[in-house]
Amino acid sequence: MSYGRSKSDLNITAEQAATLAALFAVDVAGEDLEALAAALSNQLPSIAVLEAFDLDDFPPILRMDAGWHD
Amino acid sequence: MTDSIDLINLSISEAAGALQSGATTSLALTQATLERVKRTEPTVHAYAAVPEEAALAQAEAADQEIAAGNHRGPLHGIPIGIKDIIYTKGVATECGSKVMEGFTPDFDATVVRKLDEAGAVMIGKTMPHEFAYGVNEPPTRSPWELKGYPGGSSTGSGVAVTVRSAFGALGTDTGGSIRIPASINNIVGLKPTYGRVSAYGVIPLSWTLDHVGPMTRTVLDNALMLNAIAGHDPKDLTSARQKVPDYSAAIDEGVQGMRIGIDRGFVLYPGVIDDVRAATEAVISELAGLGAEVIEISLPEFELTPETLFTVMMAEASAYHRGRLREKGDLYDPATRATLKMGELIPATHYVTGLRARERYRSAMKALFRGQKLDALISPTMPLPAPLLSDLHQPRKDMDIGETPMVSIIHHTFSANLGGQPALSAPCGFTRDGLPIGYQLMGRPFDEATLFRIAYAYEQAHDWHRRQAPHDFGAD
Repeated sequence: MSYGRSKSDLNITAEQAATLAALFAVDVAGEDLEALAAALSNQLPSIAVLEAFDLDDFPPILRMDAGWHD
Repeated sequence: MTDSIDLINLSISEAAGALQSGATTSLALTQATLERVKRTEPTVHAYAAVPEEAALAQAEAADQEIAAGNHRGPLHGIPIGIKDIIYTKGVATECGSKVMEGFTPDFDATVVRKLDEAGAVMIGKTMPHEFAYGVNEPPTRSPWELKGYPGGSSTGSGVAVTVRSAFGALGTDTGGSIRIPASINNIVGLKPTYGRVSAYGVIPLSWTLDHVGPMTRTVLDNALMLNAIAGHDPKDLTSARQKVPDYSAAIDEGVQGMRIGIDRGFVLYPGVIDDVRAATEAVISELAGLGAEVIEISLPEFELTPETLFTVMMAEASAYHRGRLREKGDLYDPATRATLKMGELIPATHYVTGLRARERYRSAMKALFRGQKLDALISPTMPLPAPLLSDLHQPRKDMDIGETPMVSIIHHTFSANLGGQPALSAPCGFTRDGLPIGYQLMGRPFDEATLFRIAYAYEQAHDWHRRQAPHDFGAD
């Protein structure tokens, strides 16, 4: 499943995905590792789209408030 | 008394008038709705549960109150559906998931309590995508195309309202989950401003992106439902304290002098099919004819919205489900489970970058609305009508734009979740194949009233919203 539009050459292998999952205590069945690796290869590079914007003056929204206060 | 087929075709405001005048009763409305549920459910599967006896008891109580001269307002005695991720005391809330099978809350969500206080009759719990994530395939089908995507994640709410097995329904919206099923099912759906409607007692998908809102057949009905459910809730830390206006009070004051912006480069991008493009341009022309000023705008920050939303949403959803995933992981739908697992592997630095990008987007929207003195932005709700379920995650066949239909569907909706601005979808026509088309209005925070005014003005000139799917559900 992918929502992303990102195009990337990042190619996370099933072995790398398994290592990552183990580090974060995520239990992934062997037959699902290829799909997880493909999904990560698609998702993780999407951060580059955001980093292409200048975010220097924008602190993270830590508590969502929809109001436009001055 | 009116016969049952006429009863179920009434809008909420029409039914309220009939109840108040004594032309019908809540019991008659509820019985007609339950008959409609029985007729339509074998085909559309809009409901997870229909507590028939409780609904009839609520209706009888409403009739007694109304007969005694205590008419609480336009929702009193009206059958309403509740999305099944919203807590209902004593009625199972299973979130479209085996994980929650048999779970029965011991309290009502604030929105359910508010509907109860308004005298509404809870006709049933409507089927969602599993935990509202939108990645599994619920059994619900839209009567407009039984093989098509019925919209989600407020899937059953959209379908129940369009097939007349509810007069209105509650949905939730994290990236378009009210507006998308509204568009696909030819009804009106509003994602209110973030914090406008309490989320207390609603199973979260993404705390900072979730919204609860009304789904109805008309714009006025939507305003009436929002009147009943909006307002500050001390039980919800994200609830806003802004005063709640009467959303129906100025709904018919027209659009003269309003400034409506459109970024054609983004919202009419190559992924928009010709019929949707034409229907959207027709709405714009009509609003201009009614006195609105249409402003061409450009907002490059739209480009960062998909990556921002999915980074934030996936991290938050996986954080919420982390414990349950380990306790009952095998009970999740495989698609939901896989997405939740992947979300756990998004680095915290990516999440924080997403929150910074979100602030940049929000600041840009604020500057745009203020700089251009805009009342609303307009777009199609979706670039295309409901795709076939079998095509949903395949590359689009109608054009080579590197998107699946699922990616196209959410192209216009999720930015309103990032900014927390109100956004409304309403019907504006049909494709040459007879599938509904919706348009979207996005407004200033806490200014839902302006969106209702614009959509009401357009609705008065058309009967799109009155058209029903060409399906007789085995009628005699």
